[in-house]
Amino acid sequence: MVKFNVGRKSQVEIMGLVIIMIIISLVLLFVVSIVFKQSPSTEFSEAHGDLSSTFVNTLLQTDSDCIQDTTMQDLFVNCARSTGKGSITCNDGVTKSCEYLNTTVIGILEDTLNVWNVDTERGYEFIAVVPPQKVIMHYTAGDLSTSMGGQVEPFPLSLYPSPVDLMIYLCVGGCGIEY
Amino acid sequence: MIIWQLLMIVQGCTRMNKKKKAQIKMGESIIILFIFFILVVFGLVFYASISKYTSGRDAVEAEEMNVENIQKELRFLSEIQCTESGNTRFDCYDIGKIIATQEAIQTHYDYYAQNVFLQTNISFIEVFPGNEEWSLYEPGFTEDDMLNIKGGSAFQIPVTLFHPIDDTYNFGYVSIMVYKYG
Amino acid sequence: MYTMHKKAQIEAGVNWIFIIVAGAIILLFFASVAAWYKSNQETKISGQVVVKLDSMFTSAIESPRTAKSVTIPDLPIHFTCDNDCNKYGCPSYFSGGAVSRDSGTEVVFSMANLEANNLISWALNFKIPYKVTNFLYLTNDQIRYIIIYDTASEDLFEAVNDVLSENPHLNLEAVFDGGSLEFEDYNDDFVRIVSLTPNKYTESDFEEFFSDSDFDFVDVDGSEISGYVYFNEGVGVQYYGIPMLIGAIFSENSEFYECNVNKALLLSSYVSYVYEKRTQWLFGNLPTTPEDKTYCDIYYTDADVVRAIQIIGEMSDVTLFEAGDLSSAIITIENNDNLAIINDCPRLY
Repeated sequence: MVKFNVGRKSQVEIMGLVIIMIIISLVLLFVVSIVFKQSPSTEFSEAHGDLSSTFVNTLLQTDSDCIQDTTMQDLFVNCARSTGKGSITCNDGVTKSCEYLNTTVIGILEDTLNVWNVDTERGYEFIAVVPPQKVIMHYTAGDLSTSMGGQVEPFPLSLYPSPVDLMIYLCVGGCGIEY
Repeated sequence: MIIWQLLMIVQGCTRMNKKKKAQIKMGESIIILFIFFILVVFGLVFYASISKYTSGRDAVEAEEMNVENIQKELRFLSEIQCTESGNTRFDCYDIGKIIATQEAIQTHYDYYAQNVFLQTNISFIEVFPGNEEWSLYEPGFTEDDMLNIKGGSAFQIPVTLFHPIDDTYNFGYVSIMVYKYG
Repeated sequence: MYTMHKKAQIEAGVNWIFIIVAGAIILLFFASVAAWYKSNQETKISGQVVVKLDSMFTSAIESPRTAKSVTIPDLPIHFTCDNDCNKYGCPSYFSGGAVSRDSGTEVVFSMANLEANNLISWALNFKIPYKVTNFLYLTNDQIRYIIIYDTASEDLFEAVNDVLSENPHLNLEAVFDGGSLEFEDYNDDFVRIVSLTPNKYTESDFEEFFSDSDFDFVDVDGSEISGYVYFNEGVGVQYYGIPMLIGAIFSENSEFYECNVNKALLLSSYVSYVYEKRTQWLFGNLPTTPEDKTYCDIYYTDADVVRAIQIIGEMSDVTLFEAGDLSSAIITIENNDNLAIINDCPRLY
């Protein structure tokens, strides 16, 4: 009878210890879920997505000094539609739209993203392409360490009446797309 | 008589044992309660340190929101937005208005410092085709304020800068420096 | 033996007392922890709601003519606007529970208390003629708006209705006053009756219809350009333009409305100063080379346009506000701007 009681008592004690262990592990799980709430990569891609879309949007609305009353968007579309270097000739009588874009856009990228150290911190890639393979412009700077892995959203420009759009990408860390 | 005395002694001893047992039992209960309260205090300290961690993270989020708020204030500031017959064009700033607002801020510094710009430094920089810079606002920190500044975060946002006289839309960016103060 | 029995009884009794006291202390402790945690969480939730509302108001303000209806926690939201204004603004706050936020120089027209689990937000531009700010209007679907008009006020009604009907979420009813008025009481939280037929009705004329609902009455005397709004208190406050008149329709009372109008006029004084300086800058910086635009300078002169902008800027509160002078100034600026555009000169605004 005494042995039976002792056995019962120790079983109850063991149950108590088990319950404590379960509670402690639940608390630890709770702590871990709070501490590791949001992955850094999501925050990174959101912040740089905003910068990319704002940058490209602003760039396209900028007036060019190639010829009067043309924006960068007009020149991109002209360059994409033409088979050669573009049908628009700038005021200097020599430079065509595609060449003008190359020089000007690279200059703007270097005066902004490079000055802000985006090239040294993460690197960036600027691509203007008419799928599948007509590359209007491709520029990279810095070490493309964090590739977006093809997840980046392009800025499409209509090339009506062609059904295909001109896609413009600006990716911090690299676009990771193939064309 | 002797038996009676012996019985009394045994009774006395038993009584003493019972007393001691009772005291020990009470002591046991008190210690258990004491340990229980210690465990509860440990739990509270643990919870407080988790709360401290999450509120530290909330503070970082609040700081980011502060930057976002400054961005929004700037984006929707009627004094400098590009407008066409009163209709707004977003992410575009009129250089004529920026220059006029510089003067307005100097004249009404307290209003803009308290209601709009707070502890920020804001400049507009033109990148293409020109290369000019306009400092819109600088916080008027005193020497004591400078000692309390704990750093800051700088942000650049690409914007369109409109030249009203040339009637051109140029590429530039706004540089916002938010100071951490206190 | 008898003594031992008694002692055991006492001991048992003391034991029970000890258990009850210890138990009570433990329960009290946990109850206080729970109460502290509950109030902490309530404050935290109020704070989160207020932050989200602030963000929502900011988005709403900057999306004029876009009405939104959102579901919010069933937390009463309270708005205050104290008419004790100065050069920094008017003391004004909105709060949800224990947490409040300064609404600074934001112009928000609403009832003082909004209690429902939905919130309707809407914004309109305030232009005179350049954009000064956007007005934010807040209400919910438990507040009913009744607009009464007659033949004489049909133009004003159409101007107001054109704008109000852009907001499909409003609980709005338009009633033509053909002689006798009839209303149904739908047991709304609150009914705001707006009469565009001045001095024809008072609040007591509607008591028979709204015995179960809380209601009040606002009288409008004016046109779509300007006029006066009379709230329950009998005091008339000026309005200029449909956005301001709609602000009166949404406002709790005359003091709340006047406070927000003062905020708008204060903002107008700062924006006008910028436009004044910008116009003078344009005048002084027009190109002087051949094929220049020096002929444009007539549109930016001090005597004419700059003075008009200064007149608008000087009306920095309701006491200094003159609708006639404001209209003349606006017309001057608009005319000069139109001529500037036609002649390929820089815009005034």
